[in-house]
Amino acid sequence: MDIIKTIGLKKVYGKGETAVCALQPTDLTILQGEFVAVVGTSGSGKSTLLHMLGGLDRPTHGQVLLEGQDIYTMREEKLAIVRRRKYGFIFQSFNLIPVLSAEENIVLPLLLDDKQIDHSHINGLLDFLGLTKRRKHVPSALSGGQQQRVSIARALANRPSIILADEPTGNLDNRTGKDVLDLLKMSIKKYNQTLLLVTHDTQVAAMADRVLYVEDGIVTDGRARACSDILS
Amino acid sequence: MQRYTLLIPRYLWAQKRRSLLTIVGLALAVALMVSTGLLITSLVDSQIQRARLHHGSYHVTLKNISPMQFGMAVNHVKTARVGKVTPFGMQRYEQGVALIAYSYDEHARALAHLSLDSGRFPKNVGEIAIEAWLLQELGLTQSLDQVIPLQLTTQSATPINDSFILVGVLTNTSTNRYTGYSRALVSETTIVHFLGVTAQDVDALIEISPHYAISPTVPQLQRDLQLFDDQVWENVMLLSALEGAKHMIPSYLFLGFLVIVTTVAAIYNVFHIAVVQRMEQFGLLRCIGAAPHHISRIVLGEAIILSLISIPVGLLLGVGGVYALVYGVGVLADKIINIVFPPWIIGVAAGISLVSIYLAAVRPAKVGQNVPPIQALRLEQGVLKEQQVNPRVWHKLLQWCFGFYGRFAYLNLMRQRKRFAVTVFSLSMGLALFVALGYVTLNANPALILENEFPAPFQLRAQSVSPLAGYEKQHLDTLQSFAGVTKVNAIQERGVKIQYPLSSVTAAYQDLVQQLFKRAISADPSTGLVSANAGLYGYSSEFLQQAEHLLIEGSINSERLFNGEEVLLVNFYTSRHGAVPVTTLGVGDYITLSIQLIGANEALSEQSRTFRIGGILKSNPQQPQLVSVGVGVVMDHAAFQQFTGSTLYKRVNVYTQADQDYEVVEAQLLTVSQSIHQGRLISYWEELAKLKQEQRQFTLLALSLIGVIVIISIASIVNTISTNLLLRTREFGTLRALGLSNQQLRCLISWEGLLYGLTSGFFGGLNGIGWSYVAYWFMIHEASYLSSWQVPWAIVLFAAGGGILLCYLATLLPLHQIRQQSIVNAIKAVE
Repeated sequence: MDIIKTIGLKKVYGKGETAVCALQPTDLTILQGEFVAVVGTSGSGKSTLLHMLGGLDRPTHGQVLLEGQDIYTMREEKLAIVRRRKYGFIFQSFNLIPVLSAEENIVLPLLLDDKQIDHSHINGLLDFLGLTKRRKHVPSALSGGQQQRVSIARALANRPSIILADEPTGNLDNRTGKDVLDLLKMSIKKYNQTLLLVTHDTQVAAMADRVLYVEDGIVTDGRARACSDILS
Repeated sequence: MQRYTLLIPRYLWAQKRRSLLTIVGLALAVALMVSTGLLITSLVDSQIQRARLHHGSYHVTLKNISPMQFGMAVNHVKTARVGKVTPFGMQRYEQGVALIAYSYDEHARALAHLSLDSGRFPKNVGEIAIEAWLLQELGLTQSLDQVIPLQLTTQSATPINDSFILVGVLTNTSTNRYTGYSRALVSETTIVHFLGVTAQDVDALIEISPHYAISPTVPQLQRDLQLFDDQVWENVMLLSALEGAKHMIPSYLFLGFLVIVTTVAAIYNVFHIAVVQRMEQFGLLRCIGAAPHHISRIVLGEAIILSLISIPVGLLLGVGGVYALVYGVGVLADKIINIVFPPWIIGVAAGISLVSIYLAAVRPAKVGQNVPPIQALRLEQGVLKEQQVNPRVWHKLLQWCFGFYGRFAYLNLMRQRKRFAVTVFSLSMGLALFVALGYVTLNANPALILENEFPAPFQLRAQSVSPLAGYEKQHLDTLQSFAGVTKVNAIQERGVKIQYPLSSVTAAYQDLVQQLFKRAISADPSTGLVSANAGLYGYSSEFLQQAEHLLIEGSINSERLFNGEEVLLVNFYTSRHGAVPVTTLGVGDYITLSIQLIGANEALSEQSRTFRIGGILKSNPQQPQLVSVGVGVVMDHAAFQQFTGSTLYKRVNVYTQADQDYEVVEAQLLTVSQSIHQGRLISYWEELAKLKQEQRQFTLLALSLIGVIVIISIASIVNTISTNLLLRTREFGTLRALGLSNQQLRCLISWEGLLYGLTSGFFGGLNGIGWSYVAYWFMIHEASYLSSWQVPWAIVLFAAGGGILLCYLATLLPLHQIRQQSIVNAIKAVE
């Protein structure tokens, strides 16, 4: 079942002579429960693709259909609600709110949604991510790996359909990075979620069900290429 | 780019709006200091100049001195100028006014600041110059060369009955008009001609040399010229005015202090924020190899650039603003004769600004120097050292009160406690100054002081001291019936004897009497009671009810006053040394009043009665001029009538509609005023019109000051809140990526503004209450009409509300910027 579909998705930054086409027109389909890795060199347009898929950056042309509905035809308030309920974001620099404790950071999307906090779910997440003992700590009191685990927990807190991770292991050492990826994989399996993960790391990409290769704004579906070609 | 320091102008240029805001804040703060300093020095200087103009420049008058003594005074080393005044004679008129003729030599005219409305000063025999108001009072025109017949009584006991030629019309002296004694000038040759003496005693107006202090010089002159005490009269009005100007200095210093504290706080805050927002850049510079001294140079370089622009602009704005206010708009034009421009004010304002900017730069420079490069690289929490906000139990309480966003906003503010404190301090100072200025504007308007002395545009006065002369009820009814007259208030007045124990006379008053009258206060040996003259005044109940603000002790009980069970005591004698309490009598004590009653066949009988004191007033209601040498006793009309048997009114205040043609009303009132023996009409409407103009100007000045404070506060708070929010672009980007809607974003950011406003409003209001009390304390010596101090709640609430609104509005600009910024760009700030 399709969860995200793009039709002629294109992004151009700037105007006139200084215009840069960050993403060429792209048609793409992502299935529910799929783990998709997006790889490419720096500046190739992979983050642009991820941001547009996540409703963070408006495309210049084209559509992003989430469960069949074009998210960019929505008003900003509605789009915010979609981001809150359908997506979970994980950033390279964690982007935790420094004044909130680990637990408060995790439940933040629920608070924004005025939802009753399902404490058993949150406790489960904390337990699952090994953060139970650190739940009251503010981000500055956590290590990099722990902070990234908090940001993963935050992305999972409202049980989103899609998790968008932009180089989640970029700031972590190899071992911690591998732990984080294992956690993500376990999580999507456990909650039947879709994961789109931007990475430079070939080993990380190799763990994905499918790889999207981005080069000079052109997206090539990994199914059409040999994985080895892509990774080479 | 050839030098790294070129980063400074480039950054300032790149952040044009922020730089402009900083320059505006700094320049206005400098302008406020300069303009306040210039206004204060100009006011003090003009007050002294005006005192000389109104009351003369002479410090002392030596009365009835011989020509030899006059010569000694002229040649005395401690005198600067000596003017000769030769008394000629006096004529009393039916209207209750009098003309007193003198000869003033050139020095005397200059020292007394005598001037002419028209014509010239007399120089030939038989010429005279008369004050304009007296001519009007006598029903004469101001035509020169008209013949004025005079019947003068002179000291030589030879009355002069002759006609004089009017050669000049003297400019009115308001005090003369009030007392009814008018000064007229004749030439010295006229006096010689009529009195036939060339060496008569004269009065000398002495201006003491500015190199010598006045107080010790006066007794020295007395000794050197061998004069008696009653021959030496100080120019009390001038000395009072000079002392008054000195008394005002602490008030001015207080205002100056408030302005400096407020502006220093604003300068510190504005500049501190301007530097703080560049911290991230400093961190990155450190990463690429900048040494601490490079950072220090950049910060100080920024301070120098901003100072070089904002201080001269501020100085020009301040000086230009004062000139524009005084000479352009006319604010304080009546108060300020010349704008004094002492260079030290410019120096002090520039110095204070530089020091404030330097102090504001030092701390961030130090932090910038010490930013660890790795922290800048990681950019996890920005490079600013933020204080950790640990969860507290009361945070839950905060959440319960203000909701999640309120608590979140509080936690965000607490990350930079010092910055929060500096901003709150700066804004609360501005609000406190607003409250203090507001209080002063509403309560100490100089126009109100005079309005209190001239309560109504017209006053009818029975000039005769006879208890049988005065206006009757029917006169009041007639006055009330005139078109345009809104209210008529009448005051009864009578001289009485008052008896109280000698022990109750204050030492200060005993000293004063000794000093003024060269005698001691004594009591009747048999009773131990002092019998003194006192003024007895009768007011209507309505009038008395409005005198609550004058009450120092006790209460105004209408019923008891009406029944004559109680009286109110004005227990102060006001001299240039201030108000001296006459007695220690208080509420509940008893006084005995005695009055001479005129019975059938004009037989005199004395009536005495004892009254309980119900309250102590600081002055006569709406008539502070009614000052007795001793105490004054205030009664209700009914009690006055019962005690004195008189239904006559000595003074009638007539109030008119604001848009009334005063000249028409004046003509009608004149007929009523002159319908009794020695009845006079005194018009204050010209003075009142001038006062209203002054009141408008004073309000405009206060509003200008308040306006500048508000603009500085806006610059400061917008700068702070913008920086605080824009430094957290990444966080807001994250929150929006997580699903924070625009409405929720507005809610969160608004709460931050509101918390600034609430805290500043609370402390500003509290400070303002304190400052308004200090302002009251300074003013009470000069403005005796002030009612007792009360918390100016309305102004405090207005200021606090304004502060909260200001802070809320200050969030709108950064909110707009944050909303306009794409989420991706916001996150890219670090990604």
